[in-house]
Amino acid sequence: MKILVVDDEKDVQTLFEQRFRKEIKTGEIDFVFAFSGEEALVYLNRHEHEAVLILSDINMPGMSGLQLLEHIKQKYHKPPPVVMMITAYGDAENFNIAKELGADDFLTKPVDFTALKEKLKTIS
Amino acid sequence: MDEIVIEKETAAVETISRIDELNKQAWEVHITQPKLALELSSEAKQLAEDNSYQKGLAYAIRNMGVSHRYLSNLETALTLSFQAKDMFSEIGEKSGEAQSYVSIGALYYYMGDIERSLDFFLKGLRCSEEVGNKEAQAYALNGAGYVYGVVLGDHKKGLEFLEKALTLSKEINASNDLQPRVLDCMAEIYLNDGQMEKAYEASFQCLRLSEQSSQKIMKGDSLFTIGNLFFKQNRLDESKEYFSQSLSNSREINYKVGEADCLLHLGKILFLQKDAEMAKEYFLESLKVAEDIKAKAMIYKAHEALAELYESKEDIQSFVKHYKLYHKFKTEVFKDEQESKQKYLNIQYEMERLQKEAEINRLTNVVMKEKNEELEKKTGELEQSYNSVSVLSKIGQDITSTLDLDTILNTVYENVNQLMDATVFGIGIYKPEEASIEYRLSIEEGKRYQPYERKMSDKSQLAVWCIENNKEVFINDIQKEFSKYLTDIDYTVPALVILEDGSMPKNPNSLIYLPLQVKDKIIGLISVQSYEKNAYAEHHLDILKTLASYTSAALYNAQSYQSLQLALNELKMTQDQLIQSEKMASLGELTAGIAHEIQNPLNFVNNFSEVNKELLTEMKEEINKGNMNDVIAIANDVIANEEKIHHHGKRADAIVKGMLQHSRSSSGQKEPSDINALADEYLRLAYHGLRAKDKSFNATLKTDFDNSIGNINIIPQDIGRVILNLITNAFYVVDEKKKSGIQNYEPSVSVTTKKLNGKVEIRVKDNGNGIPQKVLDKIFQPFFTTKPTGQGTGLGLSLSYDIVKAHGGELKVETLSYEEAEQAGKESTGSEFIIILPV
Repeated sequence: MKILVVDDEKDVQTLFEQRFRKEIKTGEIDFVFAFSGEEALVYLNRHEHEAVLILSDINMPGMSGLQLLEHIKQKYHKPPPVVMMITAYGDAENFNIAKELGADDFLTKPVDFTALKEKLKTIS
Repeated sequence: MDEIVIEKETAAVETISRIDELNKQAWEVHITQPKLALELSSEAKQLAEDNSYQKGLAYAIRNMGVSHRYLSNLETALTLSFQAKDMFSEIGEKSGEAQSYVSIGALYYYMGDIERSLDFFLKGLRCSEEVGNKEAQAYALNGAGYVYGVVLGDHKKGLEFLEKALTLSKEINASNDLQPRVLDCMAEIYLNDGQMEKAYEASFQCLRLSEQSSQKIMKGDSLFTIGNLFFKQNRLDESKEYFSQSLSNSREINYKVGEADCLLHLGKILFLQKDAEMAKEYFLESLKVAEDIKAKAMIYKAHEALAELYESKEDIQSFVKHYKLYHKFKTEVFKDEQESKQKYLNIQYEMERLQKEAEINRLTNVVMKEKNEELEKKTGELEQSYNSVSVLSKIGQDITSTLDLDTILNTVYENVNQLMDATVFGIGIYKPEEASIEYRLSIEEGKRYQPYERKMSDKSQLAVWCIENNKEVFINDIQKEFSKYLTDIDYTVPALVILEDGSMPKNPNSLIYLPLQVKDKIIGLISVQSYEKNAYAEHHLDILKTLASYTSAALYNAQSYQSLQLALNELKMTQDQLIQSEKMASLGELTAGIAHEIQNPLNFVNNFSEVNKELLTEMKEEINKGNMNDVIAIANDVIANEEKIHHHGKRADAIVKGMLQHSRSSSGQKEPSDINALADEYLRLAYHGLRAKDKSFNATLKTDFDNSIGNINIIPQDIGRVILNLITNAFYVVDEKKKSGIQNYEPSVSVTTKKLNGKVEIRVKDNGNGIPQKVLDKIFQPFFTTKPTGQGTGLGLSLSYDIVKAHGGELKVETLSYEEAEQAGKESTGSEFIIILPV
């Protein structure tokens, strides 16, 4: 399973790689990282249908996670991939907008990786 | 006639009579048609010069001078009048000389120089008496009477002069313009003296006469006086009617002084009728007219009215501005106190007369020993009184040069002993709202009383009588004379009052009480007392009156100053509160951003520490298996993760500290700070803060930091506040532009730092719509904001400016507004704020 992680914080890459080191070692999951919404779109356009799941932060400079979500769900990829939003804002408004735009799930920071792994199992 | 016979040699008879005729015509029309008079007299001047006809030339210049006066060109008029006066005196033409003195006196009056004005009127009077020119004499009497009665407030003396002037003007010529002029002056004095009936009678008579003889200026003046009469009686609608008539009359004949005065009074009426906006317009227009002709006396009145208006609107800044200007111009006009001038000039005039009388006596050889002795005695008294005047004017300067109440009181006391017996001396401040007189300073034989109060209800007190009747108390034998004022007398000061050495006050035999007055308001009283009988003569009373007028002015100024000081303190307190609320408002904008910013490091701290737990468990297993290579690899990961935990922990710590620093009052301590880190931190906080509030907000952030800057010495929370403010503003303007729906617009904000020669530059740039030129010079002013009401305090940039200035730096802006760019056919470049700090 290929997962695209979008976040402007570079340390996110190290964190995911360590948290999922067993899954990566066994080849169960393959991670790709993008550090902005724009970068994510470029990747998705070049590698259509490769990513099964997209994990995106909402609050990023430039294109926000919600704008990225809108692009993915409405303008590009058919069928659209699964998109989970990760944000520091646990408020209802963000949650509702994300749902409206077609987000499949919604996680808040700090990320609970045990719960995330459970969710991934149901997708694969 | 003699001169003409001599002149015959150099000029033809016809030319001379032509010049005389031109001069005569010019003089006749100089009031009603000053422009025509100027043309006629210019022609006369040219002819007289060509033919070396000195007398004709002098009269032509005199006429040009008076014409300019009625065209409101006061300075030109003054120069010409002096020129004419010198020529007249050179050729011995006394009538012309006398007339010139009077013209100059009038001009000085209009220019606000009362001392010179009175001096020249009196010179004109002497000169015209000598030569027997009744017309000039009447004009001089009128001028001097006006200055005495109206300007200096000596009603009795003013009316005396004016009645003489009226009699003379009736004698010489009925069609003369003087009669209405004298009546107008008399009306004004009657008005000030409270004799309303007589005032109305005189002013309506004046209006009638001036209408009959179609003298526009006089008509305007009398309309003004009538307006003023109604104004004084608070009959505002009638007053407005007459002032308006006078205004249009003044405008018709281009009579600027009259125009300014009418505008001022119309403004005052509007102000009383609560139409402050219109009143302001009138005051400003009056000020403008007065400034055009440099009429200082009008200028200060206009500033006074404006100050009062702004005070009522609680616009403290404008109030202070106009109050200062009012004070400045008033001080210029009344540079040397009026009363001392009046006395000084009286004495000079009287002394000269006395000397002349003595001279005549000597020449006619009439030995009148007694009279001579009397004269000598008089001269001696006058000299003594002249000396008193010198001392007085020195005291006047001392008193009026301070604004501190106690200093004023002490200065008055220290000096009063030089002039009279002041064994007991006291100054009371009248407090109408408390119905009492407060004695701040009372002294007996050099020993002070404790401050005490006297109730106005205590009718057995001479002080209370003095205030209630607004009249002097003048007693030289208390037992015999107190009944002139009171039926019953109680000497005792309140029982609690004893002198500072514990002794009791003694009863005086002679005493003077004088009310202290400013305009029509009683502000207190001054008193001197002596144990001796007959301690005070009339001239002591006069001296004390002069002293009282200084004291009044000084106390009034001190009180005004105190209330000004109070207003300023209040203003400062309000400002402090506003600054605090501005800090809190920007903190509120930040909290959401901070919440977000704290979650990010926490995410790493939590997760990396959990990863480490797992890794350490794995490491234990590997150790047991003996796979040392794996153990080392895991240990390296653990160390790297620990470093990340530490890094993000510190990041969270810095965010919280930053927030606390922002809300705290500035410690005021400069410390070496990393300006790049500061700028980066506040950029992120501001961005996330705005994003948290408005999900749709979006902008490209660009940073370009110069890493060679190193640490610079600043108060970090203050400079942080400036950067935050500039960034927040930048976000606001790009967001506004985005929301206006411009196609293909990408909001962008950049922060750049750069090390320059001995300086550091921080630039915050946006690509918004720029700042229009017309508001550019206002953006650093407190309370200026372009945001909708309730959204901005208008203090952000003003505070930023102050902070940067306090660091010895500069805060500038470079901008090209959208509208101006469009006009120039260019793209708007947005705005760039530049902080320049010394290293």
